[in-house]
Amino acid sequence: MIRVWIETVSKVTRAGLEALLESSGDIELVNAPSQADVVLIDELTDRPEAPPAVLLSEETLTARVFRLGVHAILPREAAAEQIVGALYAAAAGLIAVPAESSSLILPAAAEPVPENLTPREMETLEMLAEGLSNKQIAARLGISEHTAKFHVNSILGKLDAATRTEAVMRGIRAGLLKV
Amino acid sequence: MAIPTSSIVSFSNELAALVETSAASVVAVHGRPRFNSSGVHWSPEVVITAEHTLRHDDGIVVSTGAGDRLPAEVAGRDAGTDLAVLRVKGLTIPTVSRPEAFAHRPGSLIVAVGRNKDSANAALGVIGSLAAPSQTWRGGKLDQVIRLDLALHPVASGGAIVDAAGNLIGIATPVLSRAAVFAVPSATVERIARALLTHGRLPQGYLGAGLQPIRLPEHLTNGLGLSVTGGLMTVSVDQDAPAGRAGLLIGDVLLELGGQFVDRPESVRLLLADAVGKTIPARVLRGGALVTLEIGVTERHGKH
Repeated sequence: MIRVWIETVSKVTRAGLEALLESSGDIELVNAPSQADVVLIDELTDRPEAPPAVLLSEETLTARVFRLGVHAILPREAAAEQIVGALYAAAAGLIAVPAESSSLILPAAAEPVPENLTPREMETLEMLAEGLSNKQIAARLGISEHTAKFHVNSILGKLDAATRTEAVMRGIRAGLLKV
Repeated sequence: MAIPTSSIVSFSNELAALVETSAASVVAVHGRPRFNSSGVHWSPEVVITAEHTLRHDDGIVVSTGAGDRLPAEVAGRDAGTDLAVLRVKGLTIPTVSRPEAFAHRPGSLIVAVGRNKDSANAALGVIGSLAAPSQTWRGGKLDQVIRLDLALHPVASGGAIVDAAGNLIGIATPVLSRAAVFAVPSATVERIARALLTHGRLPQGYLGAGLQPIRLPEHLTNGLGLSVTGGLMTVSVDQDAPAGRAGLLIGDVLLELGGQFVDRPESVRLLLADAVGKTIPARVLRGGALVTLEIGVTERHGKH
């Protein structure tokens, strides 16, 4: 059983989270942070000595953020199971971020900057955005399938993406691709 | 009162017969090391399988219950719905039986029929829950969300989910949700297969705009009666693309596309996923006023 204090900027968000956690069984909502094992927040602020926090936001878990007491970060639309899991993890002294986000930054590392793509790689990324296979990319560029695969893998590496879909999303987010 | 054993035996025999009939349309797909996966003979010489089970695009072989091994060519893949379409020349097994409409309910019995090398692979379950058409976490669109209460063996990924009458409900996949096995419905398979067989890929809608997420000050949004906190600032426009042709200008803040609020460029891409050929409204903030543009969505054409 863990005791949770919800501290959100929006009353609507608070009400939603209260409802969500109330039906999650082993969680007790307390009336003050001093009574809590873990705090659920939606904005990053300077917090005095306080229990560990789970942050609902698009922030990245950098060393600075961690030093502010944030032990887990989830997107605002995170599923109930993820929020509950993160609360338990933080209460147990662990760090938690969604597996798909790869937003866990090792201390002393800055925000990852995508390595510059070569012009050929940019062309290939555009084709990934079209949904083309390696074979189709090779045909368009007049190169071998092996070389096309090499360009795709290089893009995946530079954008730190596990799949072609992720590479396209990261490319869009980084401003490399128009939508 | 003792249950007459013959009814249990009958049920068992009927289930086995159901599996045997369905399995006649199911092949083993050899596209990854360790476990094979399964595929369903959808239409003549076209096999549908689970996209995530194909490690490469080449060297894929399918095998039938009779032991025939045939090379398969990937016609196309859609990771969003975990479907891949294979062309298999010379495949003579029966195609799967597909009913017209889907009329099942939570609790309806289903059988997952796959192929484990030479043997059919069977698993019994029920439809766990049904939900409205939705987008998967991978960005694919499902015509219906069919969650199954089923333990799916790895070899059965890409296999058939059939109902008690032996009709195909959909294709089995464990990767569209962490919590449950899904049946990708026949209607979705039909749509995706048609696109992949015709174009080799799914046409993705494109606007031709570089968009940057920004926060909008409350005094601005309140004054216009909007409840959004942010939008997408246009930082570049391709004049030869849909957005340019529709009159989108640099500085326009995109608030809504096709009636949906947008806060991230990735969301725009997902919204456009099957919008090729459609004209959709875009609501933008321009010089403090709201403007609606009609954008005729086309595909992106790579510069090469």
